[in-house]
This record gives sequence, structure tokens and C-alpha cells, in this order.
Amino acid sequence: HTVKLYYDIVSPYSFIGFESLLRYRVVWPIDVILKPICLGGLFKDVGNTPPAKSCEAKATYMAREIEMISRHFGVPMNVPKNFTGHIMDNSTVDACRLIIATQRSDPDKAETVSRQLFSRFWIENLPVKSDDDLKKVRNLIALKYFANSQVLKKSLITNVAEMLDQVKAEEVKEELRRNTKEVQEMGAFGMPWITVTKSDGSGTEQYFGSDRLPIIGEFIGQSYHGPLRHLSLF
Amino acid sequence: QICTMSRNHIIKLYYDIISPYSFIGFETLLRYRVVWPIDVVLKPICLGGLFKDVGNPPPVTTCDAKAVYMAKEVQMIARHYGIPLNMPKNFHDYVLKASTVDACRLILATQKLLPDKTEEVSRQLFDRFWIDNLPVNREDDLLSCLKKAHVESPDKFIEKIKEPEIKDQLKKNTKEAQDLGAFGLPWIEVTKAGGGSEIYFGSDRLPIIGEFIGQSYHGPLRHLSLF
Repeated sequence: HTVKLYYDIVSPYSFIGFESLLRYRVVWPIDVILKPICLGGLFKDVGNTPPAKSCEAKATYMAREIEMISRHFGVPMNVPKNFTGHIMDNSTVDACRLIIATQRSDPDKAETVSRQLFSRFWIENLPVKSDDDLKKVRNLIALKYFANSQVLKKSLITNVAEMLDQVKAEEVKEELRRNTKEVQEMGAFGMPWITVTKSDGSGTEQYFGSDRLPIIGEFIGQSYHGPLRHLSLF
Repeated sequence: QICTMSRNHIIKLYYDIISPYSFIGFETLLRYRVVWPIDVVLKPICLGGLFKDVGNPPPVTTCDAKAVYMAKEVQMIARHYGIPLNMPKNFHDYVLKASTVDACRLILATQKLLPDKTEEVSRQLFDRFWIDNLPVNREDDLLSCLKKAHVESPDKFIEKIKEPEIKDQLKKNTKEAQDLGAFGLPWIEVTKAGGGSEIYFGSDRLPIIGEFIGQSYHGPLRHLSLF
């Protein structure tokens, strides 16, 4: 069965959905297609307010809930004290473009790059913005200080400078816009967004959020086996 | 010898008839009394009041795409749990235009006059609103639910809901949920028999609640559905 996962690094529930869904490839007959999108763009296009901004009580609860659910799934997420600031003040557009660039040149590494970006943002709580001014790079040694160059190195990608360049390429920017529009047309208003198409073509269903594995399982005729923490990569 | 019979974990469920996810949470949580050592304490609240007090816009109003998805999702999750919930044509208008304040007061009146029927009266109100898609704000609506719950002298209950004590209790429950950090429903507070408590929002947390109290999640238990 084909599962498409739409996600953005800025979305904590996307990290949980990403890890738990990928883990389920071990027990369910599924292929997972990764579709990074720009959540800020989606929110704007559909006129949705970021959930952490709806009211204070919600932001407070979300911070707590994220730690609770992530621990349930064995993903050691850390929610920074300034949760709302962390997600509102940090751009992840470059990070998502980096995943797309990886999909275009080294597709097998897209999952690892995504994981490294998620870990950097949600475990280490560090920014994932590319340095805009690559011209300032006097030599390749300086590259090592750039956030996303570290992500690439951890993903065992060697052509770091080239990949960082690709983040600015028009085709990559266009693909991120395309993915975002694709998920919007399906009715998405937040992340993660999951579509499941049964292998016999008998139907497709859509799901919002990281709580739907039991229901997805039923849709494809499989059992839910809990959080599968022993399969956590952390 | 020390008596080793353990006490049940206490679960407080804050809910409002207007909230479809409350219906799902209500049915599934009560179903789990069969397999988990839990006592469930029912706490009806006024969701409209809560939204206002915490400054939260009703989720159905945030954007069109969300309202459309919620209508679909409620039916999908209800089906998963074996609850034959029916979504009215216009979900957005249905929840924004209906009043369930008297319905929640009726549940409180039942808790006072005939506590053993609190669950059944709640269920009949949920059924009427979310399966029959009929109003629950008029006296005749409430009488119909009381009759279906086999409550004798239903007029006594209708009179009771007008009393200040009942109106105050609804406000008290609502404030209680707010003080626990609630901004929506259902809101669940779990206190372990051995001490320690946790709070949860929504109707998706049974697996995590299970882990908290050292129990396993056994899926939707559809065979225990009362429908």
C-alpha cells in the first residue's frame, strides 16, 4: 500500500508521524513517499492560525503533549522553554528544500537527511537555516559551521557545497511550492498529512495528525502493534 | 496480613454534549472499565463558556478546510469505535447554533437526584444530538431523553435544572477544567491509585493513558459497543 507523508521540519507532530510511520514499514506492507512542504505557506493559503497561537492554554498543553507522545513513541524530543518562539521565529524552508534537493540527487538519503534535520531542530533545538550568503564562504572549512552542512555530513553526503547550492535552485523551490499546493488541494490545513492508497486500488483515505496509525492499520487490513519503541532509531 | 486489594485509578472525564469528540471519548473510556481497573467520574461542563474564558475560537471556525476535515474525521473515528454517529449536512452551523447548556445541567441534576443514571442520561443526550441529530435544548427534548433512560418522575429533573445550585455546579465544573489547563474537550484527568496524575486532551489518548496506569491498550473494543 502506498502511503504519502506530507511534513515540515517545523512541525513537532510531523517528527512523531515521520518516525512512527517509517517504523511501521517493518510490520506492514507499505511504501512511504516523503513529501516535504512549507507549513507557513499552507497556513497562509488556507487562512489557518498556527495552533500554538490560538490561545495560551493550548500552547502550554501542546508543549507538554509533544513530550508525552514523543516519549510514548521512543523519540527523545525536547520542547524548548519558549516553544512558541522556537516555531514562530525559526524558518525551516531551507531545511525542506534541502530534503527535496536530496530527493533529486541522492534519493536514498532523503530519509536520513529528514531525520537529521528533525533531530537538530527538535532534539538539539538548533536552527536549520542555510546560510544565505554562501559568497561569504572563503573556504570549504568555513562550511562546517553552517547548520545544514552539519546535517549533510551526518547523513554521509560528501558534496556538501553543491547540495547547499541546490537549496537555492529554482526547481527545488518550485517543487516545495508544488508539494505544498498538492497537499492544500487535498484539504490539508496542518501537518502531518497522510494519504493511504490501498495496493488493489480500491480506495484512498486521508488523515491529519500523528495519532491515526490504528485507524490506518484497519484501513489496510493490518493490526496496530503499539509504538514499536524497540524499533526507535534513538 | 496487609490487604493487597488495590484501589482503582480515578479518571475524571470533562465533556459537553455539543462536542462530538466528547461522545467518542465518553463511550470508549467507559468501555475500558471492563478491562482496566478504573473508576470514571463524569464532569459535564459548558464548552462555550470554556472557549470564551480561555480565549479559544471553536476549532470549527479556524478555517474552512479544518471544518470540512473535522466533519469527516469525526465519522471516521466514530466508526472505528463502533459508534453510529451521524454528521449533519452542515457541521459548522450545527455546532455553532445549538445549545447544550440545559442538557449538561440535566446531567448534573441526575447526578444529584439519581446518580446511578448519570451515565445513561448522558448517553441518551449524546444519542439524540449526534445520532438522531435532534435538538437537546427544549424541555420536550430533555423529557424524551429522560424517558429513554427510564428515569421516573422526569418532571422533577426538568424543574431541578432551573435551580441556582445546578447552574453553579456547571460553572464550577467548567472552571475546574479551565484550572486544569483545558481549552477544549474532551479533557481527561487520570489519578493513579498509587499517586500521581496526568491530564490529556482529546479522544485519542487511550493507548497513552493505558501506559500511564500500567495497562495495555486493547484497541477499540467494538464488541463492547452499546449500539
